[in-house]
Amino acid sequence: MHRRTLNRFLALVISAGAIAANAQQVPSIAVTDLAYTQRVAEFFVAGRKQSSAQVQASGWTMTGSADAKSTYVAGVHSYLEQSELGSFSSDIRGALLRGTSFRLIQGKTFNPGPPQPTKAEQALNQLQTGTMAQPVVQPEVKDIVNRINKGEFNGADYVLFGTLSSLQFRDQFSPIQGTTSTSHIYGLDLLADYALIDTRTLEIKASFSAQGAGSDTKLLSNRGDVMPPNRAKVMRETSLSLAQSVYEQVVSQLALSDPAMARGVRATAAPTRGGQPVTTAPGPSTNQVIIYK
Amino acid sequence: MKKISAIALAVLALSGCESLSSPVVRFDRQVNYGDAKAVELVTNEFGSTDLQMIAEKMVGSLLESGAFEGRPLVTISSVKNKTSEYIDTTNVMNSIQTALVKSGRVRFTRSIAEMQTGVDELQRQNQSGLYKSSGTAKVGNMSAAKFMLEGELTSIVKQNSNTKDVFYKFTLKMFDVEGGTIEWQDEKQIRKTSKR
Repeated sequence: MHRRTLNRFLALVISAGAIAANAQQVPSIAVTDLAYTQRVAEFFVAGRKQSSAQVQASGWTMTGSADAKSTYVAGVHSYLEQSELGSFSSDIRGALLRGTSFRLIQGKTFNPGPPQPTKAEQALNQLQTGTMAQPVVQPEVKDIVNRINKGEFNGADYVLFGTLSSLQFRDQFSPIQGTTSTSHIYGLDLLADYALIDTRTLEIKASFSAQGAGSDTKLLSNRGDVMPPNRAKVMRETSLSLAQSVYEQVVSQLALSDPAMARGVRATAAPTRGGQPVTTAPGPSTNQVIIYK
Repeated sequence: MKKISAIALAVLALSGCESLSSPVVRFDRQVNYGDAKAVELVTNEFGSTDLQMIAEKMVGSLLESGAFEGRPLVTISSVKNKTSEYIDTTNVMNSIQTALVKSGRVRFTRSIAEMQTGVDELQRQNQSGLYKSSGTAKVGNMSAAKFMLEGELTSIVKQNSNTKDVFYKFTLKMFDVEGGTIEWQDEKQIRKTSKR
């Protein structure tokens, strides 16, 4: 009886060990939010004013003195704001979960460093103390090597690093031929660059640009309708189409750059758009990936 | 005597009515139903026979051409009437469209002239707030046509004191919308001569 229990326990331990070993063999990927930098310009004024006046009168004499000091510094300070756009990554993670057997790791959010004093504060401090503020080098969101080395993606074998290239909303009105109606198309176009990077060797396994687009169309008749567009729908469509494009390109390039890793792509799984399976263009691959329609 | 003749007339009328399946209202003017495909030679202006001949020729040519592989989507553009007569050219295209749809080899999308009702219905379903969103026809899902049919009808009229000669030419072209290429084209020529 004891021997049977012991055997079962051993079998459980062995199978758990096998599962753990298998999990360690499966590559893990961290998908970053879309990194972007934008130039921000701000107007600043730093002032220092001192004024004193004195008048003394006694009998036939009157003395007076005035003292005024004034220093002003004004200008426009521009800098690069480093940040991440987090609204378009979840569907990419979902597509990878559905279509591959890779483990997904949540990386740390980009830390832009402690808040720095504004230019006006720096200028005022310089006026008061006479010492010039030393520029502080802050981490750059697009410096992926530094971020990997800092440990922002600990536990991940690969980082799918995305940077935002272009994000543009469209507002378009066009009359529909043969009708008295007009279509109001509210759309979003997004372009991002991606690289799948090995966190140990910094080897790039895949590199591509991906485009996402979404739109919402409202019909306006000559009766004077007022129909605000559905921004949520537009953003969701954009996110889904971006995820589809990213998934297709990752899969097709992995097949060429790392056939061993490409085996992690499930043959029967596919990304979906709006819950519906979508087709993918067949790419050059050594391991055939079948995407069902 | 008068009574007898009235009864006889009534009996005759009743017997006449019994022979017809439905009641007939007849006025003084003589009106008769005829064969819709009978050759019409009343004048030498554009007539029903011309329309039928054109439609028959175009449909036959289109179906024989092999342009309709895979039941493509087709739309109809305008048919220009370049004759001196008033001719409803939509009628010609409708006859062609009817025959092509019945052949089952091609599908048609709404033409520009038919868009208003379609757009109004989409607007009613999507933007009136009256319908369940699960069953509504969504905006942005219309199927676009691969081919477009464009036609024109021209005429040359010559006449002297006792003869009038009219020459009609109907040309129909099918364009590939994306490529802008002509994928099929045919014409029907009709000559009608009348003498006094």
